Amino acid sequence: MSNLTDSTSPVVPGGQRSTTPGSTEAGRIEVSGLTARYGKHEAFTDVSIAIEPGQVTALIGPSGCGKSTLLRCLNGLHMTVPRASVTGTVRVAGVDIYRSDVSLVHVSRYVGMVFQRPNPFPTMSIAQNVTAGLRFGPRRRRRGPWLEEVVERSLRQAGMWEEVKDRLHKPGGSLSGGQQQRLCIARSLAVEPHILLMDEPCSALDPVSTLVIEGLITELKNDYTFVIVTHNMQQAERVSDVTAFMTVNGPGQPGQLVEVASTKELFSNPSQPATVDYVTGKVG
Amino acid sequence: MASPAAVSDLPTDHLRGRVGYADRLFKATMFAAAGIVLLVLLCTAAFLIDQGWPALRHYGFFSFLTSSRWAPSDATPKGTHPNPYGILQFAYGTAVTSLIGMVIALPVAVAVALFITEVAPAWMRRPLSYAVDLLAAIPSVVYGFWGIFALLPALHPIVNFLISTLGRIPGVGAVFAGPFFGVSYFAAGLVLAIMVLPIVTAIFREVFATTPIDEKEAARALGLTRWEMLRTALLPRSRSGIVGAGILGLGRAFGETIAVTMVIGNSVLAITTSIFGQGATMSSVIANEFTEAVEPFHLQSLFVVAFWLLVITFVVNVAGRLVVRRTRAGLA
Amino acid sequence: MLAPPRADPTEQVLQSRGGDDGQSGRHVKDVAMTVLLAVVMLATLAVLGWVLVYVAAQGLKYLGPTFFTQNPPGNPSQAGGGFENGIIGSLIIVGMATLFSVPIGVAAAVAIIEYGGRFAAATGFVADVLVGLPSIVIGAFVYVLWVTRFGFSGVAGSIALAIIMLPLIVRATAEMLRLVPVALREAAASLGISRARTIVSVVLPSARAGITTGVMLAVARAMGETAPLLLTALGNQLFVVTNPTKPISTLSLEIFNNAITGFQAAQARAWAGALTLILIVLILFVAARLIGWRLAVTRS
Ligand SMILES: Nc1ncnc2c1ncn2[C@@H]1O[C@H](COP(=O)(O)OP(=O)(O)OP(=O)(O)O)[C@@H](O)[C@H]1O
Ligand SMILES: [Mg+2]
Repeated sequence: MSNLTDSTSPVVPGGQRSTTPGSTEAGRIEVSGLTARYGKHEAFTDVSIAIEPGQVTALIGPSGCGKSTLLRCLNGLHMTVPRASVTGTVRVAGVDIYRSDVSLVHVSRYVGMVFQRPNPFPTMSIAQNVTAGLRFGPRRRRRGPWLEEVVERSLRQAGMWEEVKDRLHKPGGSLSGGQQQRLCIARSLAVEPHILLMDEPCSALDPVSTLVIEGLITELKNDYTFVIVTHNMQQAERVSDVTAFMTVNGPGQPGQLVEVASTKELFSNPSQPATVDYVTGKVG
Repeated sequence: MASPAAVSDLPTDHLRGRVGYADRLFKATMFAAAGIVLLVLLCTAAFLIDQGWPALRHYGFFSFLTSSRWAPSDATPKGTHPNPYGILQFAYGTAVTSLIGMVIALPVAVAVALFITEVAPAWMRRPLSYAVDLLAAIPSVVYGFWGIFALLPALHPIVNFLISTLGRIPGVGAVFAGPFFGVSYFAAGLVLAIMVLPIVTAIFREVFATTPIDEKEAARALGLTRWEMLRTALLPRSRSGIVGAGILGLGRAFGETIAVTMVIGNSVLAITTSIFGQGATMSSVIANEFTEAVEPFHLQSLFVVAFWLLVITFVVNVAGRLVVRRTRAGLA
Repeated sequence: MLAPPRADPTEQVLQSRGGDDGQSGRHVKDVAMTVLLAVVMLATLAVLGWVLVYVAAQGLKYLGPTFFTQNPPGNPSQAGGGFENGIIGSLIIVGMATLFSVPIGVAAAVAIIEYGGRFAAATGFVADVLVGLPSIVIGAFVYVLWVTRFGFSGVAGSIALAIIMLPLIVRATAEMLRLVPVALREAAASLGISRARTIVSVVLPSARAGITTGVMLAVARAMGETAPLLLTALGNQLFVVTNPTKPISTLSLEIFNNAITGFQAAQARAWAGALTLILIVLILFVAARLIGWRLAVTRS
């Protein structure tokens, strides 16, 4: 796997990942004292957490506790929601992304995102979907043979090159749900981020596709930092190194981060009563 | 906490300027286009009143609205009394033709929309709505032409019957008095009814479609017949939507020009009491006389007509939109 | 569930369900209303059929290939001739109006939906109101704006038509942009694609079919407009004019001018013109619906 990345990455001229993947500051996110709001409503308050490079961090917790919101705060996507706001800081590669002069465009070079429902661009072919971030993003590489290399490399990383190599020019929407989701992963990988955020990436998929995606995460985790939101506790146990548990006391209340621990420990020996209830299936 | 190397790793500086600049330019362009839309409305009002100003100043602001005699040949460059450009009969013509049109179109549109959304089998709905929409696609000049040669001859027996029955009733008889020469307020109203029907029907369809299915099913589950369901679950909810659609249809009828001009007779000298008599509307007089307006203050007075037409349709449309919007918001 | 105010009549109906009489009475009423609705529907379709068949019958008496290659005779009472001048004029004027209105209309819709805010909301409302503005008033406005300075001309006519098309395009585009899922915009944003790029390369292409439908319907509307052109493009040219700074006749103006002459020969030409106009509009209308239909199919 790492072989593959090594052999293909030099193809990209001026590729942005100059440092060794997965192990540097570039893959680190530090959240401190973060509160996120939709208008007046607080989705969660006072969350502090460090996402360590090269690890898979799972976010678990009952519905409405603010997992998706927290994830969307990690790359600034939260701020695209009308009337949304944050206080506190999120540092990506050491820089506070809510500084007024930093925008999503910059953060995207470090942090990619995969959504709950596969959302390939419907008007673009499979290949065009993969290269969209490169063609329209900040680096603006419109054409050239290297784009094809990126397509192949990214689709290989997403484990679907063999499946689609003969129909790269078919619309992205012509794939199955699981393939679409892997296409979205390939699309994110193509811009070579250090961190990949995933919001319940398997919840719209069948069990087989789910296992395929989990396999992908395991394969890619040497090179990328993952943060994954999931409702599936087994999934969290299977793929993550660290698990963060969030909860919420009731509707309208802000969510809270209860505890962060290594996945093994959190599931076998949780320190907080709320976590015990949740992981043993008493609530949620 | 972050190492200095990591900070410089986030390349904000060289990117920020370029990306931000293009983005802002794009946004500004989009808003400039939006500004043009606003500007069109403002400029229309301003330009019309500006052009009509000499006539308004010469004859007095309200003298146009107090007379119903439009006699450009009486106008002189000096004289101001009486104002030869009375426009009351045009306002009357616009109101009467539009009312006739709406009185006919509204119930028909309700029925058609109900039939399409509630009665027709599913496969017929789309073709039926297209057919009704097609009525809106036929150009106004074609309706006028068709009106002269197909509708007017067909009207004669019906109208003559109405004149000999309704026209005899003491009091209101004057409204239905003869003689009938074909071209008339009534004919214009009929053509308007056909022209606004598809517009009003489309809004009704939308309004009816917003009634939640489960509410309809609940009514049916109570053992109500379809008609009882429509009356108890659908129509009461749709009342303000129907009002809004009616107002919008009225606004549309107020402004219709060519078809009306062709079938109304264009008599500009006074208000004709009978709906079977000839007259003119605000829009028809503009279309008729605009390029031949040579008398003193003639063209300026036409701009006064255009200005008032703008004011009336603006008010009616704003009212209609507000009602329809409120309905939609209420149902959503 | 039925809310209380609506439940009242329901209860009355339920209470009146005593004997068989009430039952059958209710069903008779139901059938009667259904029949009434069907009759009104049929009457509406009959009117549509009446207009279409009448125009077709009259138009076919004169319509022939030379109708498209000849101009009207100098003396309107004379038989023969065609509306080549008007057809070419319509294409020029409506074509220019489309060029003016589509970019502005689409951009305004982008401001309204993609950027939003108070100003954009006001624009949306004004576009709604502009749809209802009488076309003759718009003609008078363009007369002041253009004709008083540069004279009657095709350009003036196309500005008037552009203003008529503008709010239609704004509304159609806005409606389509609203249908584009937020998820696509978020996916683009997370890839680092700027807002402007997202709109141009992701959002607008996704809405393309719907926007095309809206534009075609607006073009169909403009094709038939007559009143504002009387005040702007003027017409009355008995020969083909391609210079848009000169007065230009259109198909609709030729129909109007020939229809009201009172000469049978002129009316025959006008009927042929009316049939041509209806066919053009119908083709646009059907094509627009087909695109809309294809769009609906691919979405589901
Ligand atoms: N776009 C929005 N506008 C307003 N409030 C929102 C929005 N999205 C989420 N919220 C609110 O923020 C809170 C947290 O929502 P969030 O989607 O982050 O929860 P979640 O943990 O991801 O839930 P789930 O497990 O169901 O996905 C909830 O109370 C929700 O109602
Ligand atoms: Mg969520």
